[in-house]
Amino acid sequence: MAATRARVSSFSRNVSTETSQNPGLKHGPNGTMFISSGIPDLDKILGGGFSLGSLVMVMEDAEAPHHMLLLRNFMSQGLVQKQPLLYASASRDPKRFLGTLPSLASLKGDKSSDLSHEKDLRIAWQYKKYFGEPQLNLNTNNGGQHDYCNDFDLRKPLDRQFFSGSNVDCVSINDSPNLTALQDRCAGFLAKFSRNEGCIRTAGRIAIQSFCSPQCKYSNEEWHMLSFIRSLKGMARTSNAVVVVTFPPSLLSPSCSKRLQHMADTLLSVKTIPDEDKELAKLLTGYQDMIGLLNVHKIARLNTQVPVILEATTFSLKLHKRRFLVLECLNQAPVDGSSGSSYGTSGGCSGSTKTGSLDF
Amino acid sequence: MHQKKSEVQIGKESVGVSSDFNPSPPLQYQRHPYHRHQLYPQIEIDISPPPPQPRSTTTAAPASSLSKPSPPPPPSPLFKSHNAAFFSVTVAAKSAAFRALRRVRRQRALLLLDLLSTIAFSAALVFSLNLAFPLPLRSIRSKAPVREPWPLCGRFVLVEDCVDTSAAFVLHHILKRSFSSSPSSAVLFLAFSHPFSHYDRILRKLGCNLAAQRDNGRFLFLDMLMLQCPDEGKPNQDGLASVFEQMERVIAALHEDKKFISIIIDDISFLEVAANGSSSDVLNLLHYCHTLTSEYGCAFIALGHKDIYLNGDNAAVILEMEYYADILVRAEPLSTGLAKDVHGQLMVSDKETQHQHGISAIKTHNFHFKVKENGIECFYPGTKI
Repeated sequence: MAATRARVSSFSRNVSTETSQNPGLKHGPNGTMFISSGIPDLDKILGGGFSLGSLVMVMEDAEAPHHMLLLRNFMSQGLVQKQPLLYASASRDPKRFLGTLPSLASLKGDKSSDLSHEKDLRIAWQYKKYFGEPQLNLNTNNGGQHDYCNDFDLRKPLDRQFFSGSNVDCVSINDSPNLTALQDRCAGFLAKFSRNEGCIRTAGRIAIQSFCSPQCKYSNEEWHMLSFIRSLKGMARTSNAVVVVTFPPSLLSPSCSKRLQHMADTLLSVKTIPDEDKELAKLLTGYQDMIGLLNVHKIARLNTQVPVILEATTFSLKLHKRRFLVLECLNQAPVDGSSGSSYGTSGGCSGSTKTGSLDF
Repeated sequence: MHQKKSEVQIGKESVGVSSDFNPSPPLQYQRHPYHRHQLYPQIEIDISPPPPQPRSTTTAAPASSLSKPSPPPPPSPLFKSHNAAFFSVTVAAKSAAFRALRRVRRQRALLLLDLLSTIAFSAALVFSLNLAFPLPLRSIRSKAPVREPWPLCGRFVLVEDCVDTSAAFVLHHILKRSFSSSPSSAVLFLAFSHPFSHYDRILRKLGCNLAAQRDNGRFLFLDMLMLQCPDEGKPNQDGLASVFEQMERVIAALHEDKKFISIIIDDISFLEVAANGSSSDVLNLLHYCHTLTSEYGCAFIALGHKDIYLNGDNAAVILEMEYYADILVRAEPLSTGLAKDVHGQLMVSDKETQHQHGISAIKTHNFHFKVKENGIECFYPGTKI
């Protein structure tokens, strides 16, 4: 009775042809594909990158625009690898944001030699982070465009050549009374990357910034926004694209914010750290270089039921040489011998995770 | 299998077995009131081996009649063990009949007493034989070994989770078990959060082929990822009422040949978003689904997110569902943080409606669990090695 049907095996073959043609894509487990987030450390944390077809939600902190760093790297990575991009924001002229996208890091050798120089002199209090060091020196710099993930120099703007023609689409959601127009634009964009075709030619990226900001007219209609995100998630699942949406949870009701968090396949949150906080300075090393904290709440589990348990869920956002965004594990400062009560006062490593935001 | 016999017993009664002897169905035994002497099966179930007694009178009670020697086991290795029992029993019955004819003339007074005790004994024996040995004829006739019916029939299972710990694995497990429980089971799946390919891959690792089940008509997947009910004021054609009508039609059609139907709703919170937040519509749909459990004997399983309703607004949906639910499964993260070996804790509450003394009891179980690709590992807290 059963006619000859193509049986899709759960074993994945070593398909090297597809990835060599398209360096921006990488095979992931369980038949998923990854694209890079633009930040090498984040790719490593997430186990490869953002899964194609997933919805990534970033919870903003109202006090600081660190989510923009994530968005900028994400968008630049897409442009460098010629992946079409749709960008929507509440500003009147979204195209101006494209001018702030970082360019490719030019001198990669400079960066790696610096680090190796540091390694010799440094006394290893926290020796765990040196286990992963040798990998940095192995990256070959063959022009940068053919890497899966690139380093971006946040001080220099992206070259004009990457903004060719129809690759980038910008939408302003400031004036529209509701989200139907944006939904149609997204639907049209995602239809180009539908998964029904055999091979993946290229992947698409959608970046929506500050989704429920009060400038938008629909920001009071929570169910309308929820249904938009839900339909976007449904459309993305059947296409070869990644959707990144940032939203400020403090401006939404708690239940709406929780619903959005449940909708996300990958959930990140960005937090600020106050300047000149003496308590934190005692607790963490490298506090002066940190600009914020990144928390990984959920990682997309498509086609599998096994959750990913990370060794650490909170990372510090640092700007290496004020140019390159790096994520580092939080490391506790060595305990000062004179004041024996530093553990007692911190409270970050005791008790449940609900009390403190720092997660060691 | 063989009872110990004294040499005297073996010598007294030896019955030959012919190779073309066909074991007859056990019902024949009840016609021979005196076969109790030889119903001395070579099994140990509820027949205690008697002390060997040399006498062969029939006035003895059934228990002591076991003293009668059993025929020797058939020498041929072709006979299976249960066949051997039947051979011995039926052949013995024949010989007993001959002997009974002789004895009737001598002890007619005790005939009635013997008859009653024999019938009772043989009935018990046949029953125990059926349990012990699947009869060769019977096993050919029956479709499959008797398993217990789907325990979730007519019950409502509510699965709750939160952002930190997802309880979707419970749905996968129930989905897989519903197919393996009985060949006449079917599942109606309303998917609001993941497409078919996602479930297909997961269940394949669990050992269940959803695509094949879908082709066989045992798995109906309703893809509701893009369902969006129209806003208020417009005619409710695409609304939840039509969803329910579709469900009821499908189940009524399935009910004719499938006995155990399960309805699984992937995500209640997505259903609410599809209904534009109208909790009354959602509650109506859930209430109607609950009536299906009593009308068609379906099992109804739904997944909801507990942490959305913690602040009290819109909590009517989850509270009513918790009230209706017969079984509540709640997945939470560990209070001590993340761990690679233990992914979370599971609390299962079973509301037993019927109790011996009329008091309804709620059984609560607490487990820790670890989710693997091919199943779930549940263990009591602290026992993970």
